[in-house]
Amino acid sequence: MKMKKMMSLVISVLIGASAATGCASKALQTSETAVKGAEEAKPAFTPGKEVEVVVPSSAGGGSDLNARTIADIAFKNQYTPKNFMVTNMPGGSGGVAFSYVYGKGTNDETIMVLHNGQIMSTIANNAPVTSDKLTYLPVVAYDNLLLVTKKGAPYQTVEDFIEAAKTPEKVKVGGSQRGNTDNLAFELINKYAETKAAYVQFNSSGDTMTALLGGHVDVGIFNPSECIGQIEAGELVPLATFAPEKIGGAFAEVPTFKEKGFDNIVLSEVRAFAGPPKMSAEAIAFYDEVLKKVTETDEWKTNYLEKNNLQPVYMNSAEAKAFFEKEVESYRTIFKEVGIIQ
Amino acid sequence: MENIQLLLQGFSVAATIPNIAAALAGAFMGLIVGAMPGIGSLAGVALLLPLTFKMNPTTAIIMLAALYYSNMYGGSFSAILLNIPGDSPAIMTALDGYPMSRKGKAGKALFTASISSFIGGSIGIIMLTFLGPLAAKWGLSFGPAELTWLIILALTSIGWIIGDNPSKGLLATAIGMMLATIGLDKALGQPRFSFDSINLFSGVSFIPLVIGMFGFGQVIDMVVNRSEYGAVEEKRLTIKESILDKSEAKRVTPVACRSGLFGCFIGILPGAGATMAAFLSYIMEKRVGRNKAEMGQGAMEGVAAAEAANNGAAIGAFAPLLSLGIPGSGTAAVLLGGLMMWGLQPGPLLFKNNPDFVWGLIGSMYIGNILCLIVAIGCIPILMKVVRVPSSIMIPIISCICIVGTYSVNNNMFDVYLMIGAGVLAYFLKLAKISEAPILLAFVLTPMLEMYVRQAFDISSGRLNVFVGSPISITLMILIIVFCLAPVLIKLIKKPNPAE
Repeated sequence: MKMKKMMSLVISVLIGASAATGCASKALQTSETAVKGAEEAKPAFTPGKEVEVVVPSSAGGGSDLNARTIADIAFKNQYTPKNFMVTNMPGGSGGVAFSYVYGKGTNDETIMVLHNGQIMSTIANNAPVTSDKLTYLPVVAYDNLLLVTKKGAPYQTVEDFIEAAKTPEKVKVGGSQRGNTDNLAFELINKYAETKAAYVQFNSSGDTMTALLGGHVDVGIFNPSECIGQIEAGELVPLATFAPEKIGGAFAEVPTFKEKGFDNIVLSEVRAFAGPPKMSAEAIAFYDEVLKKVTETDEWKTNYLEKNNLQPVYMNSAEAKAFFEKEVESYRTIFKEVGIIQ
Repeated sequence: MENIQLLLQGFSVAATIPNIAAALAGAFMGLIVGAMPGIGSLAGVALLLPLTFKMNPTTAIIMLAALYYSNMYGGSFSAILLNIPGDSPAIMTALDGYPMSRKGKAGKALFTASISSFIGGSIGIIMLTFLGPLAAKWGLSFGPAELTWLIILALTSIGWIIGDNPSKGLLATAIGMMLATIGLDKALGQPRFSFDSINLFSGVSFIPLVIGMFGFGQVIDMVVNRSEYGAVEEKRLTIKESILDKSEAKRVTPVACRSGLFGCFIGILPGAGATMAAFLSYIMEKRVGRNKAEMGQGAMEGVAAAEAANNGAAIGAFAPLLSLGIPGSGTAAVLLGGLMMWGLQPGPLLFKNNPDFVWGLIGSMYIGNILCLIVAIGCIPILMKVVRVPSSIMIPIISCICIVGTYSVNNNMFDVYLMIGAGVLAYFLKLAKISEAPILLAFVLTPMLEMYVRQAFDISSGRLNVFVGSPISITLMILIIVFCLAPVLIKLIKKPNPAE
């Protein structure tokens, strides 16, 4: 009898322990992923626990892929003694994640994927936390944008699309999040090609894709990596790219807006990182080094940049800060021009 | 019959030792993750994803998929035994599972949950094998407007369905919707009802709310009404005693089949997911089922409907993921990211270019689902010991689980206060006989509703006709009207002849 009572007690405690969710899951992480420590000379700061990499959109998008690739390379090559754990935090056009990271204050073990689209969103939405309140970390890549439609759509070239879009609110353009690069790209078309299309905002590119394939929107704006599977299958047709020059690879044939005579419809995405507002200088140096090492690996260059049609670039935190301060000014000017902000 | 040939090929991929081991490991982890309040399949898959990068993609997806569907089995454990749903799809399981457990039928409830999960999952897998790509294409016809109606259908039904008083149910739904509006506006990023508190900027978190409402609310009730909560003495705690007899199996099987099929279809829809599936199936069963009067007081049918549906949905979510490269649920979205990380190209060509991957996964589901059933049933005798623990021991243990579980998710003390507040609220709601399930479901569904309504208006440039723009929309709308008017009409018709 006593034995039985003991048993029940032990079991209840075990259930209790397993229910202490985070503890259990963290223990799992640590035991599986702890690395003996980087062998090379370490900077003054090393993370004491798993580094949380916040992605301000749902899994499966461009930012997500970027974060997960970096997390993987950094961990595999032992550039970091602790794993980079990717957390998806969609919503509020990036505002939710910005607020979250801002709330981390002096925490050195939280970073987020920063993408010029989210910087735009926070400006456009007048969000409580904008990028200048966070700590800028390195820029790691430039990404491109494509205007894509469904096979069998009434317009299969960019000229036809622009012609159709001159009728007010006839053509629905799907994009991920308000005030994001997708939104700005859309506004650029409306302004400089003098079209009157309508913008439909989705939470992620995956949702935009679902709506485009289902025929609920007419065209969508995507990164190459987000639509290449559908394009190779012949389900979708790329109309044009917003890149300054033609993208190579599978998109070598796709014209740029510039070639079509729209010099002002040019937009690239900048992929970078950011940290909480009061991140220590040692931690900034640590992330500078890890990210620089990652961008120098062959795996990064072939498996990420080439495969997803991105352009290589690296700027350290200080350069990134100067770069973004200038960029933010230009976004404000464009948003004012197209009337997104006053 | 090309599919059968491909499936056999899939079996040969799935039946290798590493792949069976992966399915078994996934099944175990899924059960644990599912049983832990707070952590659901989404967090479980996201946590494990980085560990699979070095694996063979097929082995990796087999493990993560097993984790996903076995999570649906595990979610029912804590819902039935402690009235704390392990994750949101198990909320509906608690409604009948916990009362069953209080009546001394915990074993039967757990067995019903496991066997229904198995039936629901199996139906989902068969659907996926033969109709996957076709059904996924059909799912695409659900755009923002159609999904809006689907959620409104769910929200209007819930108040009428749960508890004995429709107005109290509607009140609970309204409370849930109000709680869901706190935090950053999903479309414009503007803070709402956050009172400039940084803790409320990102809204009320679901985990503290669900743990507080179910778990901590329960603790308060246990303390106040101590005499009612004596340990339930079951004579025999063996699997034998839990196995359903013939008449019980007859009650459960048809319900599980219907709900599994229905759940699978909901799972295929973009962005609907297992929670909605469990929820709509339960509603359907309560409307048309044979034993609807008893549902909510500990009916096996309630447990069966919810569990079969959420398993069916978990499998259904793979159809759009594999055949179109688009996510059918939050967890599937993480798996989509996984596909890219493993170097595969999600999209319509996946079936053609990577048949070993796709069919290996589908083949593994047949094996994995059986493994899940065996593991889950094997756990029953151990789990049932929980109901024998006297409340003097249970109360401190559940309190600890509630507090530690809530805190550890975000390491944030605010969440703990929120959890305690939700518990106190739940206790008072219980006194007022207002069920807490509609609150949580409305809380889950409202952000989706808001997003879809906004998208529908974006598409129609603000015109209302988008909501009657397709046959699906009109059908759903008519269903809503019928559901709302039916009880009133039935009353009107019945009044003249009270003899009936």
